[in-house]
Amino acid sequence: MSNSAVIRYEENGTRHDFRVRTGDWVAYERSSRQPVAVGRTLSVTVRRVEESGRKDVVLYQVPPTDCSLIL
Amino acid sequence: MRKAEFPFQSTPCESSEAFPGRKEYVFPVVPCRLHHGKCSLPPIDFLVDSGADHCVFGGDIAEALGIDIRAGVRHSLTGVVGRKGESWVHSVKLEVVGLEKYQLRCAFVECEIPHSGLLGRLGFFDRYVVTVDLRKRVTTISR
Repeated sequence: MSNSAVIRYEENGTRHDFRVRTGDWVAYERSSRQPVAVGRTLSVTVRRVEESGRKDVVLYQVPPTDCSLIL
Repeated sequence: MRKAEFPFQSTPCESSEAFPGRKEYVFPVVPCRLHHGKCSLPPIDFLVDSGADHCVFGGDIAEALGIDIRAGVRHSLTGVVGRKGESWVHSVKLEVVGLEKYQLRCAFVECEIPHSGLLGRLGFFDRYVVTVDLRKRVTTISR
């Protein structure tokens, strides 16, 4: 089970292309649904969101593709 | 009646031989905040999973909440292929974004799970009427 795709996001006015993998965390702005931060771990991603000062943000973890079983 | 609607989460993926032409992977989620003691997490999209007996979260969530996983009540889990694993049950507060906050008994696992967390039958499906509309890509919950 693996997943790999490029997510484009803007952080502090700079555009980034980030190749996310299964298990990475993505933060997106709830109103626009645009990614605003990514990270390999939850704590790193939360810290980046806090540093950005954004409030209306939701996180999710990049899932594996074709995941038909849990646990 | 209290009701809320949440769009599916999606992530791009590469096409596979099994499902040629598929460019994204979509899944039903409900954004929730978890609270434990003085710790609160930002909203996280958790997978709505009617196949899960109860709510399950990963070790990184426990760590961020300041929870000592093994201090909870030990509970064995079994997956659909029969694989077994250990979990530890704790009480946290689950806040469904825009709806309500309530006490939740949920399991934490030390190993990595495929999603940040699962909203299962005990503690979620027994509280809400859940409608997953794959064509509209919307999950609706009401109670």
